[in-house]
Amino acid sequence: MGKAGVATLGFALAVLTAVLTMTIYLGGAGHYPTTHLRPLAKYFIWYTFNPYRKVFWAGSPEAVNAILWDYRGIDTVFETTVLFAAVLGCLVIAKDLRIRELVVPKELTPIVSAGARVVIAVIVLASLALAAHGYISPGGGFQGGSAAAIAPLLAVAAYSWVVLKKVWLSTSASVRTVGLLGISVMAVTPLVLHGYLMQNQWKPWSAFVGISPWLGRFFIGGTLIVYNLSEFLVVSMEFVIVFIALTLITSAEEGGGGGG
Amino acid sequence: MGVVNYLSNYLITYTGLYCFAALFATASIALYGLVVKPNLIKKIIALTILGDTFNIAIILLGYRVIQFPKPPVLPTLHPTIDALRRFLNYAVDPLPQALVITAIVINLAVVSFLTVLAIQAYRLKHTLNLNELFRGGDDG
Repeated sequence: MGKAGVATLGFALAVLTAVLTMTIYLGGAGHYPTTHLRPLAKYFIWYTFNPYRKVFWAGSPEAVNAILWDYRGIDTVFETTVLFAAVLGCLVIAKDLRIRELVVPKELTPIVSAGARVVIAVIVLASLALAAHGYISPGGGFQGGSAAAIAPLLAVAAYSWVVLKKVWLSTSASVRTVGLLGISVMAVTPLVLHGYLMQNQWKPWSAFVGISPWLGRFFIGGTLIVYNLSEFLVVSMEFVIVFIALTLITSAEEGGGGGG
Repeated sequence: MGVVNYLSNYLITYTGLYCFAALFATASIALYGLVVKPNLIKKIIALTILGDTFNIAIILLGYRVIQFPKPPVLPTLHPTIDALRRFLNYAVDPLPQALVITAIVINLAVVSFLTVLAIQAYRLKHTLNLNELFRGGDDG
């Protein structure tokens, strides 16, 4: 690209910045700054855990999670499909690599390994809590899964990629399948019971009675706990798979293998 | 006091706007990098900056300019009508947050896919420069 081209591009981008800012200033994205909620947000906030109007409620005090898995649940399911397809693409491209074992799988010192073991346990537990508490506190399947994805990176650093490849590639694929099955079974169950797809709570226009947010004394948030835990498994394991694919490729380079 | 009131009103009205201007400028710089830089990894970095910038912009749109904005989480499991009304008066917009959390995960998936593609391109052609990659494709 010549100098004139770069100058033109810079000018166009400056104009774009100015136009977008003016759009916000003139209220193109709703009135901003706003002191009141938009009508749609009002609906979600008012009805998400409103026991006096159970027709519209989602049975979850956390409005973000209620939107993710109840009000806009099918959106989230297809979004999981996109994630699945992207990871599948990674594996398909990384598949024809000729993998060679590293001559000396380098581990770090015992101090680092022992420390990493503790930290990995803490990461997994904390992210599991983040996912399981998604319907009453900030968090959820995506957040927990993304947090748990740090653990395999740490494992690669501390124990070398060989451990990861041997132990986790088949395991993570199976666990991801369990998560996907959990989501699909939970989504289809109301349909089988004459409700509609991904129905959570009781609705007057549906024969399905809904899943109570209370299990005895315990608050489980209806279907949300199942969706959150399944999504946690899916997201964390897909990232483990991606990290394994990435480390396999680089390791093949280092080992002098491959070479198209 | 008049000065303080004027200043706080000014800040409330224009701080958000300055934030948006800065975010859109960042997005423009990221777009510039995406178009001009020939290196694939630099293109991917520019793409992540672009995505994250717009995510922050969307989150900022959901913010409420009131004295004590609360997260959209109801703090009780046995709400009274009053608690619900307070929730309605102080909670921020939950919809942008719900959209952005899905966008972040999709972004991560797309970036990892692009990274695998770039690594594969480097393995086959031993370069990450887009111009050289295309030149090599013409020769072979």
